[in-house]
Amino acid sequence: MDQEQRYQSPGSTTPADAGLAERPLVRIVDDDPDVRMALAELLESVGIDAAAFASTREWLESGLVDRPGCLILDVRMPGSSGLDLQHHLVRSGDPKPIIFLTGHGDIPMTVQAMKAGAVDFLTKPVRDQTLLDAVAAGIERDRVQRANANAVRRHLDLLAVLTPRERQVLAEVARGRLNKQIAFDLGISQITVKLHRSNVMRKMQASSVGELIRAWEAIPQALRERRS
Amino acid sequence: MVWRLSGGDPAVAEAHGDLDLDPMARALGASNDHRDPVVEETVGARQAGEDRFRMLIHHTPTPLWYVDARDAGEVFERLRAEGVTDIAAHLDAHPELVEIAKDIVLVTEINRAAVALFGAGAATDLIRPVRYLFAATPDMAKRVMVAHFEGRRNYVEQARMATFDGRVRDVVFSVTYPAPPEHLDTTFITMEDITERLRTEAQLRRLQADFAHAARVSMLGELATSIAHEVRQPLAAIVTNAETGLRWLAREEPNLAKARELIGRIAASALRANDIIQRVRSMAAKQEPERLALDLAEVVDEALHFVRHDLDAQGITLLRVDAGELPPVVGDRVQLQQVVVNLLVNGIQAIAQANARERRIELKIDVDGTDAVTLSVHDTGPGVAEADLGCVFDGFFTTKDTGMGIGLSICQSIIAEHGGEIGVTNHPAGGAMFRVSLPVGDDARPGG
Repeated sequence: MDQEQRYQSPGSTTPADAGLAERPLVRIVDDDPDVRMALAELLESVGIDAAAFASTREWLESGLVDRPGCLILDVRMPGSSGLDLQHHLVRSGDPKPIIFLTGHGDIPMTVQAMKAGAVDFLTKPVRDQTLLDAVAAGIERDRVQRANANAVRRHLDLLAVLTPRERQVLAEVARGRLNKQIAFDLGISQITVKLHRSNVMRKMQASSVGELIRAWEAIPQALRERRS
Repeated sequence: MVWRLSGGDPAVAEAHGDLDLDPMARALGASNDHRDPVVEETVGARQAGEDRFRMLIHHTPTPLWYVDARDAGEVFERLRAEGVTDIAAHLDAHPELVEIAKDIVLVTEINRAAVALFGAGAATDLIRPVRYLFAATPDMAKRVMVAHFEGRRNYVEQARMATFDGRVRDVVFSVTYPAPPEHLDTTFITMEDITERLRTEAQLRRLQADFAHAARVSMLGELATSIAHEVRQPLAAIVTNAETGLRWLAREEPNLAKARELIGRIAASALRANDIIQRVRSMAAKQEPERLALDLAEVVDEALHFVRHDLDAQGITLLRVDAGELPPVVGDRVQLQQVVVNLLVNGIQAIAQANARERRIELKIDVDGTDAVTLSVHDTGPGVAEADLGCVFDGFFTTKDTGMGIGLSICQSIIAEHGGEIGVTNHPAGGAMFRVSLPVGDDARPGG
């Protein structure tokens, strides 16, 4: 019972009425039907939703549902390998935490997987507790990632309200420059700079300069530039 | 020596263990020492040619029997008169007729080689009803009768003979029926002793099988990782299902239905693991090659279990094309599996060693006309150097970094043993293509 509560805890931080979309879903990709069914059963026994696929292609073609969670992947499967998929996900901007399973985790592959952001690299046969710990860590990591992504999205929305000049001022402030330096660079008065700054603070809903800078820095470089 | 001479009763004379004497002298002695009236009747110029002929027959190295089958012929006439046409069925229904025939058909003359073959102390031991010729292959008597009844000129069968000194010899047994058929007193039987030849062939086969077995064991060694992975999958499922089952049982209200379901799956996975071990065992086992009717597609299915993991590990896609219904081939399941595994491993290694960009093996099973089934394995490796095309099947030829170069040579000897052919070409689209052709077999014979 303790176990179950423990592993439902990532899900239970969401209000019960938040709906299915916030319930964690663990995707399992393993070409062995016995193994993937067993893993799904284990997760379901502790109240975690699981969906099992025979191949990464089958999974990708199934249509991705935007739910928090993580992946359990057999590292070596026919067709595209687990590591390939991991790279693909990182590139596509949905870096779901991955737990790799393998029959024979050789060191170079482990290193590669961990560098690319794998939560864990477990060898088959895997003990239930080991896997559930990794799954809990994976779901938690995704939750943080998703929270960060939400914050970034919110900041981007706010950023869109700034005038080009305000955005310029914000960028300079974030670089740690003083009002007079900014005024000099932009060829405007310090008073005008101060005015822009207070507008930026208000529009970005920041209560301190520190908070403003953190929001700016959370936005990926590419997005900052695209919008300025 | 016993020679039944023209028209008279058999003249009986003992050969007193003199088979090692100068044959000519002994033969002459035989006719001079015994002042048998019948023998004396043969003296004369008219008989000289016949004597020489008989002497030739007597000393010819082929064991020879003259048989008087007139009584059997009469039985046949009677059966025909009664309207019997299917003699085989009739003899099946009346097996006593075969037994009677063994006693009424008489050996009338034999030669030296026949005496030697049967290890007889005296030539007269062989002058008696033919029953003794069928002692070790009793069913053959019926077949000899059927051929006789059907008016055939010859009947040949590989048979076993129980000799008088307790040996069993393998022979090619040939009956020549007389023409015209009414002269049934001149049926003759020859035998060729093929015991040694069969023994040598069996030895060669055993040697070949031993060699194939040794290669198989070494191949299994190379595939150890792959096999371990295959076994580990069901074991992983078993561990997870067992632990999940325990979780369901540990609840305040144990979920028995779930536990039951999971235990069922555990049993299924355990059986699967056992199947894999069984397959490996039969690959590793040293056993006499069998001759069974086999579906080549099934042989390929089983072989794939050994290499599937290696294919995955090397990121190689296997494209398999099967022709629909396949006629069976006759052979040894394990040896043919060995050939398929060998060809696939060969392809995998070719692709891996060349670090080929395109990583694919095409395995095609097809029928070639009505009398052969073919298997081709085409890889996307670098192919075979022109200069090497002629020797890839030679023993100890290899271009690999590791390996003894016995795999393909074993494949060739196995396929040859199955009456088939194996060849290699470079595919126009690149890569090597091995092609095995096996004759369609409609008969599955037991034993090697």
